[in-house]
Amino acid sequence: MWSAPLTVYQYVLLVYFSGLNLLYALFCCVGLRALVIVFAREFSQGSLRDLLERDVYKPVSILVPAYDEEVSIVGSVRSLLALQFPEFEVIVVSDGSTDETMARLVDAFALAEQPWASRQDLPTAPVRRTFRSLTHPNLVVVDKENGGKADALNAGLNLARYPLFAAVDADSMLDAEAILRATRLFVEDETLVAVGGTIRPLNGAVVRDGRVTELAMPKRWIERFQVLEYARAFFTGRAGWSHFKSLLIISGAFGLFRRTAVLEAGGFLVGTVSEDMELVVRLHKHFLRKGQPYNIRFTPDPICWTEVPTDLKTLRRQRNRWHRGLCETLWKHRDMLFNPRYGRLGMVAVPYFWFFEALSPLVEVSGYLIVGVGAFTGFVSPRFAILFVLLAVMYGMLLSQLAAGVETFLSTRYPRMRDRIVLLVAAFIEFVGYRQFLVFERTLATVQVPFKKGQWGKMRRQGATAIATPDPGQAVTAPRP
Amino acid sequence: METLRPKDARILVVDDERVNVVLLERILEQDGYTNVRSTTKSEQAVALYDEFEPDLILLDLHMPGLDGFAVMERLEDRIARDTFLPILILTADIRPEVKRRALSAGAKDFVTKPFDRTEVLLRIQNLLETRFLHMRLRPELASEGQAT
Amino acid sequence: MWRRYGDAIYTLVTFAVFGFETLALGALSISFLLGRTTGIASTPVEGVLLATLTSTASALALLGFFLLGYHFTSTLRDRWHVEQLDAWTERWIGLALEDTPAEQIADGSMPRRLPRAAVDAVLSLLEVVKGEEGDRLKAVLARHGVDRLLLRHLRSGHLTARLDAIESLGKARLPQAFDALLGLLEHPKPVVRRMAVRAAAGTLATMTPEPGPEGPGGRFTAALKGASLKSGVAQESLLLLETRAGAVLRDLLAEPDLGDRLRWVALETTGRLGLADMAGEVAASTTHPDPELRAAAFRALHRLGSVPRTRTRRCWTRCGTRSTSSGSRPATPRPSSRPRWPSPRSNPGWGTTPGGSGGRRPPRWHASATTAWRPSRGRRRPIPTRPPVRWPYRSCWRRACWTQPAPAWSRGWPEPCGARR
Repeated sequence: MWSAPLTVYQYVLLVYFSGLNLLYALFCCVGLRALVIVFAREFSQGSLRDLLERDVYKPVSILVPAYDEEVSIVGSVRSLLALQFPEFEVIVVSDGSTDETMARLVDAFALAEQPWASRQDLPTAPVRRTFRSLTHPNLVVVDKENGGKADALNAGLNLARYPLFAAVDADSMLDAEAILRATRLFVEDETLVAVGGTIRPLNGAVVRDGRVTELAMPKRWIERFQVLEYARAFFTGRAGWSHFKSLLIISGAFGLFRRTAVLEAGGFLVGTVSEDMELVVRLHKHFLRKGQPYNIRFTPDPICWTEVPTDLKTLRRQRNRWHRGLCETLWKHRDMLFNPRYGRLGMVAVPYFWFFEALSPLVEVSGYLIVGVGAFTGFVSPRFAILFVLLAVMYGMLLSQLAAGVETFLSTRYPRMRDRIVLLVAAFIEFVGYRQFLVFERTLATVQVPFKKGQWGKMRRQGATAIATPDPGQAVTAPRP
Repeated sequence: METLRPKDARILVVDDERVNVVLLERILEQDGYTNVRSTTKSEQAVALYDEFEPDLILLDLHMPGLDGFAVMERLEDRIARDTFLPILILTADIRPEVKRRALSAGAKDFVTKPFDRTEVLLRIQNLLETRFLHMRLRPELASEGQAT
Repeated sequence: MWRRYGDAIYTLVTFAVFGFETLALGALSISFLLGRTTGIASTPVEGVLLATLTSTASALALLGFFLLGYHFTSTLRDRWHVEQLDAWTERWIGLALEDTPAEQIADGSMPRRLPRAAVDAVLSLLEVVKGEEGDRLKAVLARHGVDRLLLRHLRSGHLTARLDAIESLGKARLPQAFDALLGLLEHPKPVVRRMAVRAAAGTLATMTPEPGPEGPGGRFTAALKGASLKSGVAQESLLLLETRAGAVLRDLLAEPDLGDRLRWVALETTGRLGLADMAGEVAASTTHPDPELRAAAFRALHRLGSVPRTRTRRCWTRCGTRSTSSGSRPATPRPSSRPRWPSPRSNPGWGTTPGGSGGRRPPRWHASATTAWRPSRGRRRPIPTRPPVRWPYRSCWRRACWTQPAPAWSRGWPEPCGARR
């Protein structure tokens, strides 16, 4: 009785597997080609230097939402203020913090209350007080009632006065030259609405004066796997999507947006877990509906360094949150699915994220189950089942190796041969346990979506040196085999 | 007090481009300046200043990490108020606002890139002569100040 | 940020690997779907599966060894390249400063075709030095045929070769390449046009000025007018002109049929370069029908220190020439660079935060997109730095600001670049 549906489902799995890997391979190759031809050839260090020396950039407002960040907020703001960027402002928004966040900011930066006149382009929770710093004229601090991260970002946007803004996390390390290079893209392309840079794990690196001086692989395998995941997600995944002008995700840790465009689209959406991805999708929708030329792209050049989780519990929570955010966003914008009105986005990108990102954990788990059960019951030849699983795993390893390879070509790569070997080994053993662990967590997240709408969970801060939970809005989706 | 000649001067070159540093070193060496130190790392500029006590600093404006303005800001605390320490800026930027900003930050003169060897040497010579004149006259000015 | 050595090979290897894998997966899928068996396992299918597995394993091994080998060789090569670069830099500096006679440099020990490191070293030096020293270095390029090679690559159909050549010529600033670079301003690819205009501008900055439309400045202006370039790119190229910018900008602003976008760029660049003697040409745009151009003109005049007299200023505020092209709203009035704002009390879209809690309950702001936003009582006025504009202009102010027109950017106007507006 079950053989016919099982057989049909096996074919479905096979088609799914082949299609998924075909698309992965396509994006990997396209992304790599874009990196090699476009990014590597267009600009050298020297040419860019000439232009940067002439102050051809756009000033930036850096928004820092904070909630109960008394431990790390002063250090984070200090490092942001120390950026050697020609013109920028830092807007810290305390989202109804119940601890000493505000008090520490007031002490550290000699804040003085100042009444503020601004347009309320976006509705937010009430703003209690605004402060300017007597020591740092480009620092503004806002104390508002609690409304969530998106609400805090919207409050910051209302006050921001520069044409571009970046919503950064307190625990991300930004390179001033990275921002400069990113803002230059807005100079070059007036239709550019948002730019995403590359996020790379900081774990294991040696940092001096706010710059990474030495890159080394972290000690724990859980961190090493994440190095590979980030390389895969950015250098193959996003580069490919950006080339097709269908980039749906810009990481919250480092994204530069045009302020007026975001205001037009309505700002950040309150009540969602991944407000950054939701914003990008909404920007696409808004400009496609309007029929106005626009561009949202990824560029590998500006690099933001961030601490990645070092323990399984935090990693689980992070990936659960990311996947829920992905599902929430896709569900909210489900009208784009197979909708020709949205062009390539509606017909290719959104369906891809639906079937090969959001639902893939379910498919993968069902695949394991069917193959396992089938082998056990004799429906599937055990030998065949093992070979098939092996093929799936090896194909994933191939993609990981490709990502590890792209990292080899970067100027700031892991320099030691030992680290290179570790990275290649990680590409193999990632698929023996780590990957299945994440698939399980993402499956759980898919099921939890209706029950945990907009919930972040607890964010743990360990101090200025080690922050285990990066930005919850950092929707880096790891590709799967 | 021993009369110092400009050619005895200690010159510090700070530029992140190695080519610029090598070129300037050779230009200075060819012109008779034997006491030249250089660095491509702007973070080391202040430490080198403390150690080397240069008579002239050739400073690039746009450098990764600490740029020329930041270096001048950090040096400001170390330079005594009655000292004339010339800082010659190397920059490709000819805009007046940049020049004004650099002058108010402590720079004494500019050389735009690409630079002309003769012009660079003449500017360096002028600044060093002023520096040594200032050093010669400083004790007299100080004693005059005490007298009044 | 990228090692260009070997990346093309790696890309080709990757394409080959994945192409092969795609075929293998395709064969596997087809053999399944042909329904060879009621179950998915059968000897022929298993055979295909084994073959696919073997090919994937081989691909893994191939890529793995390639990457390890590349890492090893590239580390050595990088070190060697730096040493070569240093050595050639020293050699060329000796030539440029005449420490080493040209004949000694040009003896048999110098290869006829210069290695890459040698060319890179010369080009790096040409970015830094000019005058007699620069001319000696340019002569080296000519003697070894590097300039001819670059010009040939400029006409190459291969994109990367062309881009490399444009970049190298931009560094070298060879006058003989100027017209070829101008010709590329009509290239269909935007990246080629972008790089070509920058290289041409850098070259023009070092060329001998010749007046008239047939001179290099005139040819550059004509090419710029006909080129399809984004405003930011055009502005960058004008900034790269350095001391030659004045003549080009004058030609552009004197052109009555100049496109609005290029006029905007010219006004912005004039202001940023501080060309005070061009205040007259800039002032002519203060009565332009387009408010964005008027704003750009006044912005430039402010930078030039030539703010017009009362009559024109009144015209400016009356015509609602707000700084919308900046894309920002003034959060607090800034001294001396802002128009005088009227009190926002009359304007429903604004509000102020209270100056201090003082024991009072903070007001509750409920701004929403649909309802008019009304601040509660007890708020304080913002701190103006100038007396408010007289009420006759309130209607203009409202019309200009409170009807929430589309931002300048979405109407096709760029925001002004960079610093310290």
